[in-house]
Amino acid sequence: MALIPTPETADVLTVAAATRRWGDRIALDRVSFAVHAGEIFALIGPNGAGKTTLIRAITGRAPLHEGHIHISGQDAALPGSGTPLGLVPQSLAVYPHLTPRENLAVFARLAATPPARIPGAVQTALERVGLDARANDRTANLSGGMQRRLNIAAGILHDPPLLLLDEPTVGVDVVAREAIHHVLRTLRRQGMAILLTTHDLEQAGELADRVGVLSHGRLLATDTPGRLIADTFGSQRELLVSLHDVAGPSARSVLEAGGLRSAYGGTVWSGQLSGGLDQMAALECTLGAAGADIAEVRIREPSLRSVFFHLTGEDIAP
Amino acid sequence: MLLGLIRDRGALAMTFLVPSVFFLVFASIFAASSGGNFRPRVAVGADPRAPESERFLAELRAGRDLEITTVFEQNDEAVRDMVRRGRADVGLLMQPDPESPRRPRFIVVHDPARNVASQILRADIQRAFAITYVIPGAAGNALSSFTPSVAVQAATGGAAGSNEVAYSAGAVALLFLLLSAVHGAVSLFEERDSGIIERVVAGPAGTRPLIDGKFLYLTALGIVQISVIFALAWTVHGVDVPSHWFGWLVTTAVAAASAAGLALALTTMFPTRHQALTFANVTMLILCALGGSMIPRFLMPPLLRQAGWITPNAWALEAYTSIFWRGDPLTALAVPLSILAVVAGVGLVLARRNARRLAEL
Repeated sequence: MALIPTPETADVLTVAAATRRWGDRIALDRVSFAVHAGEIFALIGPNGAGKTTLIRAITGRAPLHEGHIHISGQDAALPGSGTPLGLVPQSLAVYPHLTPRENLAVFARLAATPPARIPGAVQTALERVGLDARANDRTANLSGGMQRRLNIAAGILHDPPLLLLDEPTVGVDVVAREAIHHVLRTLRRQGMAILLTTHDLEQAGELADRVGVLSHGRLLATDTPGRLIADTFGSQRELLVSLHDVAGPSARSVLEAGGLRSAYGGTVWSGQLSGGLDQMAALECTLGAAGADIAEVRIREPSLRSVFFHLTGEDIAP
Repeated sequence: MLLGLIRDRGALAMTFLVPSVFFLVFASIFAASSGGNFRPRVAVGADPRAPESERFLAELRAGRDLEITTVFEQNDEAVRDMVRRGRADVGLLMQPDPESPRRPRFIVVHDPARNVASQILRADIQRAFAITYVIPGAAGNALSSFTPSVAVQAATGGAAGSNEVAYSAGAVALLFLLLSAVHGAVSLFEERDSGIIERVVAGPAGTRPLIDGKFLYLTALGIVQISVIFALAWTVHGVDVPSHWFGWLVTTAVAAASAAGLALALTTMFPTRHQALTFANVTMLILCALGGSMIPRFLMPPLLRQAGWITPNAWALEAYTSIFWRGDPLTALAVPLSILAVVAGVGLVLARRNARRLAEL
């Protein structure tokens, strides 16, 4: 066990200049951030941004070529380090034919929990995710949202200081999503450090204390959602132009000159309009003259999606 | 699909290489074992007082159906011991016949699990007897005098036929034990695909408890599986399991552990369930064929018979034979059980090592 002095004692996870290559492709490019106790940190990025590689590196399954990762002061790369973390994979990593109680008992044994402590640990985990009332039903018979909560319960059985979640609400309805958010907020309140990866920017905005924007293996920005938006857009609002068809070369030149950037193959353009929103009417006229078939022009409050788009020039499918 | 096959080396091997190897091995075993090439090894104990014994043995050898391995003089027990230990497939004792001074009487010492050997010997005794004792004076002989006096004795005092059934019980149990261990072991791929292994790898104990738990489960399942078959052998065919329960239980437990270790090691070598299942099943079938679970090893040519010792089946069957046929003390099980235990241990260690890599794929 390699303990290192940590200036920020509340930092549960420290990622410093993490670099990982797969062949010639750089999957992580000097990524640095920290997650504190009692904090939810959302890592946002499209598929291929490097989120999975980062999770693998944190769990010790993808050794770094440069940099280091420490969990509670312990080097995650040391073989057999048994770093104290819980992982909630994107897929339902539970046994469908067992009950939630049986599932958790199995995972407690697999986590080498002393036998005498297993019943208590299982009960606590069931209560933390609000599944104690359905603890003895077959997992396959539970709703998708309950199965997701069981997935989380299996990750917190050994009460780890750090919980990693990979797309924790994928494929669940709004009610189940809110229930999962409630569980995660409760865990945060209890002092757990939570790192979640998501491409659901709305979720990141609602849930996370801080957000990291990851694109092509690089961490472009890290801050609270509010500060990220404020730093990017100030007090200005954002213009959104939707076209019926993909913008032609003339229309594209007009939009780009106006400071807007395209998404969805060139039918949606957004950004801060050069010269301010007073120029909106002029833009509409010029666009019409350039042959663009305008569906909608809208002013909106900037969101994390706007920030992500601004920083990366890419959009994430909602 | 064709491009997919060509670019997937594992699939190519499973499609073309493995079936070819499988065919070559099985063809060698079955062609050699059923093509009339089997020459039983015969241990002979000839009483010097038995008339014309040298000439009779020369006629037996001339028939080329038998491999006369050893000739003892007046040492019946040595012959029985060779048959008991499997060093000879059948024994022949030649003794003076008090009722006929010109002809000996014959005792075929047989192992019920090797009945075919005693049948071949009895046919050859008829032929050699006719040439040695009857034809020289054929004109004056009655029909009854063409028939030699042949008695058949089991090499041990055990119930006749019990070794045959005990052997079959062991052989069949090991065949299904290995195959079901493979099917149990490939559940690791379902656990990998659902993210369970990923979760376990990230946990405080890694994959070791998962692999160890599977090993224990497959071992326990194997013990139950073998127990069911031997319970039938006991209740239906009278194999005396209760009198040998301790040796049987230890052998069964170690054999089940070796199957579990081997199955886990084989399946965790491959990145996909399909590859693992195909390769492990084929390997297990080859081990079963070589090890005597499909046809008795004594019917195989010497090279394959020797090769059989690389299989856990051969060692487990050796242990069961030692218990139920030879009635050996438990110390005689030391070698086969040690080898089975090594297979179990090495398999478990390899599976532990491979499991972490499996999670990274």
